[in-house]
Amino acid sequence: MSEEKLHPLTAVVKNESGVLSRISGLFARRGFNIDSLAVGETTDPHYSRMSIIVKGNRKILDQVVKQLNKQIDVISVEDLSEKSHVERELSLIKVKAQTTNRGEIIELADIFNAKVADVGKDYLTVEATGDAEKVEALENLLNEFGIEEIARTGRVVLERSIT
Amino acid sequence: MTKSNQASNTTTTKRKEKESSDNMGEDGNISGARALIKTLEENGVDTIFGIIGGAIMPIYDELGKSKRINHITATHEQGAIHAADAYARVSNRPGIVFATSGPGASNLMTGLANAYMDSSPVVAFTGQVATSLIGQDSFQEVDVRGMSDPITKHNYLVMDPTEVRKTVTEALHIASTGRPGPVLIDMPKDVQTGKVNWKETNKSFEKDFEGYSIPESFNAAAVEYLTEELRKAKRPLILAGGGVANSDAHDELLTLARKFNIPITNSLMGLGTIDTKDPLCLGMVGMHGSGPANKAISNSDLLLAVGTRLDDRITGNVEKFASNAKIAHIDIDPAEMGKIVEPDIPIVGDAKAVLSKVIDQIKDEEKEHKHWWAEIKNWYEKYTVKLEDDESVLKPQSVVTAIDELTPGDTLVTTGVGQHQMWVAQYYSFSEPKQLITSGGLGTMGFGFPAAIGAKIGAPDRVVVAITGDGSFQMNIQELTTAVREQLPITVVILRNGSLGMVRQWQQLFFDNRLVETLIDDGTPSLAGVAEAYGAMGLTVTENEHLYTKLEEGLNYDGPSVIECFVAETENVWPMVPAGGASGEFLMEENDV
Repeated sequence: MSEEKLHPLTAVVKNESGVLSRISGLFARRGFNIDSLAVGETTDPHYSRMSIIVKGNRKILDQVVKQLNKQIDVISVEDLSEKSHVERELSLIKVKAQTTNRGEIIELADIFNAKVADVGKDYLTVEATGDAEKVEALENLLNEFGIEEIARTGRVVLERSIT
Repeated sequence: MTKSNQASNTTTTKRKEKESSDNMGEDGNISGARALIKTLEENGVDTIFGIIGGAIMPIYDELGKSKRINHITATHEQGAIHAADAYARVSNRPGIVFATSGPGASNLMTGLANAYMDSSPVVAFTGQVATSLIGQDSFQEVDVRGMSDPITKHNYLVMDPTEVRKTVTEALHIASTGRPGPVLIDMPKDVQTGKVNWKETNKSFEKDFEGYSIPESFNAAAVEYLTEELRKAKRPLILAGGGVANSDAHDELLTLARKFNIPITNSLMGLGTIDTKDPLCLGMVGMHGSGPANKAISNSDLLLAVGTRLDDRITGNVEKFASNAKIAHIDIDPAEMGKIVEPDIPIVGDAKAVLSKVIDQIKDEEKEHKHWWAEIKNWYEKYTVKLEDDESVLKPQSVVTAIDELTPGDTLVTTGVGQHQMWVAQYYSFSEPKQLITSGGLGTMGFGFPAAIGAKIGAPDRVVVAITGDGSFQMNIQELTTAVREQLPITVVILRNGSLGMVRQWQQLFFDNRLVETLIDDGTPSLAGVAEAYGAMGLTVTENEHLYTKLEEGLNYDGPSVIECFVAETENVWPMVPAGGASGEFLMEENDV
């Protein structure tokens, strides 16, 4: 049995009510492990694109793709594990910040190309975008100042176009 | 006046109403309910099982005006859907069931799950509370679409009357094509009463629409590889499942098996795809399969599994399943490839087409496999269950054998679930696909009797016998009303052993004989007496002496008959592969444990 890995999948599904519950229900009842799931409309509002990060070995991944394909609301499924792809995640990180250390936090955010989305008396919210590793690295550094809350979008993935 | 006279009289009145109602719709505006009935009619539906209720009244109002559709009112929605399931299996047409919202719809759930597990094309229509009331925990509101998600091939909540025609046509198509399965359509009351311009709705329909396609070709290289392996194999075995019946591939199956003299074993759902009396047939495989079949699985060097899910009741311990064989798996559902057993030769496609191709490729070649058959013969000698010859005891197995002897070769046999079901699978001889109508995947006790009702309505010219247990029969005993109302000539044979026998057997074998809550005789009335009270014929058999005469009396009766056979209470089902055991290592009797 091959080892458990994270596999990025992208699926185009009908943009109708009930589809998300149908897909997430499928994952739950078949015991598939999902690391992250993100959904949004495509250029055609009749469809949504789901970015699904599946945890498991080859056999599990194979079943996930087949079971997804079996769903009539699923138009197409693609496994991007072996394909060159872009992967992004957006994270809003609310950090404890006083006048004394605001500058330091902003500098750190700058290094990661992150933005300051909101500043308040006791907190500052950093908006970070990138692949999961980058966002996690920033989180780890900001943790030193004290992270109050985090909101993450989950990863979105798209196959790279040929250059 | 007989029932049929009554019906024909009302039909005449209905016809007049129907004509006028067609004229009334001249401006083209009809209700969503009428659009539903019209769509069913244009798709050839003429039989519906169901029970009326508040939220589906507009649909029933239109159904009442239809002269083409016959509706059978069941006594419980579960009875209605099992009947529709069996109707679908015997008639090769979708089985249609109607139910109201809330409890009507939730009562369908077991039946949907049953049809889903056994790949049966049931299409269920449920009334729903009006759209303005959805989500407010309204009276008789339940999220049927959500509930039925895991147990349907697809489902719909129709929110617009203009969508009715397209949705219903699509649902019938999805249910009955590819790997068949149940589809549910939930329709709020205001969608049923809302108006739609019929002429503007589209009848045209793409067979392959977005998100749905049926594999029409197959991997030719894989089939060639399979043919090559069949040529090389010394100990080949075919395992044929219900998919062979669905694909109408039994002729091809037999042709291939005869050319290469390959033994065939069946899953429960596959019984009848080869005549069980054919010398090539080893009988059923799996937990209560025949000794030779299970030995053949363990010893074969090439297993060709066709139209079967290879579920746990077949495989036992997956690691040890057919561990000496190359496995070829043919199925129309791609998701079955590698779901449980990783095949060496996966072939996604229609069994009939794939087997035809193999037959083409082997042309006039023939094989005998003398050594292989000698081994198999040896297993027959060693592993055939022998029944003790004791005339003083009424054995359940003997009852099944007697029914087999007294009924025509194409009799439709339905069962509940448990010991009696396995005895039917072992002792009744099946010669046609889908002759056995049973609950294979879900194991639904109470399936057999309502299934017999649906089977008789789907195949009125065939003899229908439900063989059931005292536990199973009582789970849908209320359908006696339906059978009597419809005056259906069906025979129910109850193997009454006073217990939930299969569970009792497990308690004896694996729970140190602690019989917890499995003895149900205390409180169970005379079931023949109950049948009489409903207006059916009720007969009782307690001894071998009267077995044949009573069975004949019941079978010859022109109406529903119930024959209650008080059988030996201690009989168990053998052979048995304990759950999770290797299929070649089975128990032949109590002392083997």
